Amino acid sequence: MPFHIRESSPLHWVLRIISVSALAALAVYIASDSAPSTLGKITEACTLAIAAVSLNLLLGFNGQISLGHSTFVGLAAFTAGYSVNAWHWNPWVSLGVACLVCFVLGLILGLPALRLKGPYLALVTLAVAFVWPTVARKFLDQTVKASTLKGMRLRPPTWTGLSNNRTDRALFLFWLAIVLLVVTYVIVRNIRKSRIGRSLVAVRDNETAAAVMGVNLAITKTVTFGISAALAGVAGWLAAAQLATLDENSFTILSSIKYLLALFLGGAATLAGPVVGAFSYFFADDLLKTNATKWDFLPGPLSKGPVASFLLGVLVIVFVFIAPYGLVGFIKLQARRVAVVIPRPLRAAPLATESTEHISPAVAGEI
Amino acid sequence: MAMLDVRDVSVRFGGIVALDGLSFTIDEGQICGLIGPNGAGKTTMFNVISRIYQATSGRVSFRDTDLLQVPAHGIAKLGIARTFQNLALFPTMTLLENVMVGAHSTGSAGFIRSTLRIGTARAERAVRDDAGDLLRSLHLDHLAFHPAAGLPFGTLKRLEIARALAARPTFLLMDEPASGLTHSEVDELSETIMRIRDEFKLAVLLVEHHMAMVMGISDRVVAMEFGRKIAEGAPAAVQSDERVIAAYLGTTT
Ligand SMILES: Nc1ncnc2c1ncn2[C@@H]1O[C@H](COP(=O)(O)OP(=O)(O)OP(=O)(O)O)[C@@H](O)[C@H]1O
Ligand SMILES: [Mg+2]
Repeated sequence: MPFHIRESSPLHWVLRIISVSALAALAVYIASDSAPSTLGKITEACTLAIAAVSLNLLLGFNGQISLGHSTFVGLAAFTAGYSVNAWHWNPWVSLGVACLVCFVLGLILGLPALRLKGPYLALVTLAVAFVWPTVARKFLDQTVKASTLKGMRLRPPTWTGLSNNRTDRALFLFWLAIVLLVVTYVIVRNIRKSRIGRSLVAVRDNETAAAVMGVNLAITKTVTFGISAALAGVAGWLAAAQLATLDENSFTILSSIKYLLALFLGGAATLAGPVVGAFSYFFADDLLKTNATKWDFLPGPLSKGPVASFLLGVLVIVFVFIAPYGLVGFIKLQARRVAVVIPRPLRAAPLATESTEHISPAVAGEI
Repeated sequence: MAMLDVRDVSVRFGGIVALDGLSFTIDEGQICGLIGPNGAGKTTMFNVISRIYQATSGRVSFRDTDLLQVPAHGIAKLGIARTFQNLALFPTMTLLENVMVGAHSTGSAGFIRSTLRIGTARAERAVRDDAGDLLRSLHLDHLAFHPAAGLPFGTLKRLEIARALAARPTFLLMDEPASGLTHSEVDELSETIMRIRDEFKLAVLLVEHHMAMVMGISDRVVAMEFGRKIAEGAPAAVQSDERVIAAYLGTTT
């Protein structure tokens, strides 16, 4: 018999505060005790997580697939890199502008998405992802007259007490990445738990019924596309802050696939899924890559280096079979045996009739 | 003046004429039965009123509003809600959330306010409380936190009614609410419809093949066949109409 926790009861709040504090403590510990290269990796994982969270809003909650998210990430990175280096913009201003540019492109891409569904939408966004490197190449050739664009070099603000050396910059980027990930997460979480969030899921589940309930399909779908693109822009800006150089091959269709894998590995349409998935994917990939150079048990072209990608692919496929709802779905299922969060009861009946407790073991809210 | 005035409405799908110059009216607070054999065009009429289908010609006015100028998502705000013949629920959502979506048209928080969570708490609580009351009123409260997927058909039919009522409609369209229900459930449904009509001061347009039920609760009945009206009037008169009997020949239950 699992332990029952009432939603929003003092115990539930204590548990929430403990889990958030534990995560914060973990971040502080990592920050105090890690080499710049490790911090860099976590920053990269956060970038992936932000992209996956943004894709979750669009695909997980609103049911619109996008294989073009690499383009939003790339566009934001180029916007930031170019405006800071060529026009000497303040990097923080470039974050806002990059997100705005992505929002507008997202709205525009959302228009054909109104008429297209499933595989057709996948195709259109795939085309965008394919065209982007060519456009970026042209831009580099004609505007920068170089093969790469310099990234931004963020200087830690003085109030942080950090200096401008490599170690401190890595530390600053690490904290910045964490903050941006938290902000992105909170935005998507707030949307999901609101009236608009319900309408997004309603549109995904049944468009006709959603429209009859008064949901404006065109606005809901295009604006969601725009917001998702803008959040992907945050990931792109962060990449521009971390990478020394940006070129057209930094953001190809492969990046989009990576966002999708991270999302499904963690669990689409759950709030924590894309974050858990992104970190798991990133560090599984990293672990395999660093170790695979020693492995030669597979024949010919698959041995050594490539075996890492191969194994990761196999792992992801196997995983989707054992845990179709992703890591988060799997963890929730296990956690339910130990403890269940009982949703806040309905308003009591007006004429104090017998008030039954509504406990359905199949359903538990999120902690 | 009638609340709903359907005038000469035709709908064609390629060569098929689903509605052929159909006209009828419904008054405030009235339960109007709409009957006819399979394929008569009843669901098509529902879809014209809820703006899912485009009428080829004709006019529909609802309390001074030209309904055919209103977009599909604007219908709910006018006070029109409906249920679907073949269920159109949100399967991944809980019953409570399904009903809360039903209240979408009564809310106002848009993308910005939802993202920033500014001044949304009170409205959210009210929507949740009302949705809970509606679930209780349709005896679904014990399933409030259960996802809609996988529940019995009869349960989901009641959920559709609860969701439609969440929009606080004044005109409710019900497409075969009794299909798939057992005898005792049908009797209960009749009572429910009369009860919600009085409680919410509704007008109801009821499509149903279950003749005893339609005739039992309707104030007026419109009978149609091949997209045309063949009879109209008090239940008893329509039931004994020769053309209606001919249309239903042997299929009356
Ligand atoms: N979207 C559509 N495309 C083409 N034909 C359609 C469409 N919707 C309905 N029809 C046709 O219009 C006619 C009327 O269908 P409708 O569903 O309105 O009948 P109904 O009276 O609701 O029947 P039932 O009692 O079986 O539900 C039928 O011939 C049907 O095949
Ligand atoms: Mg029908």
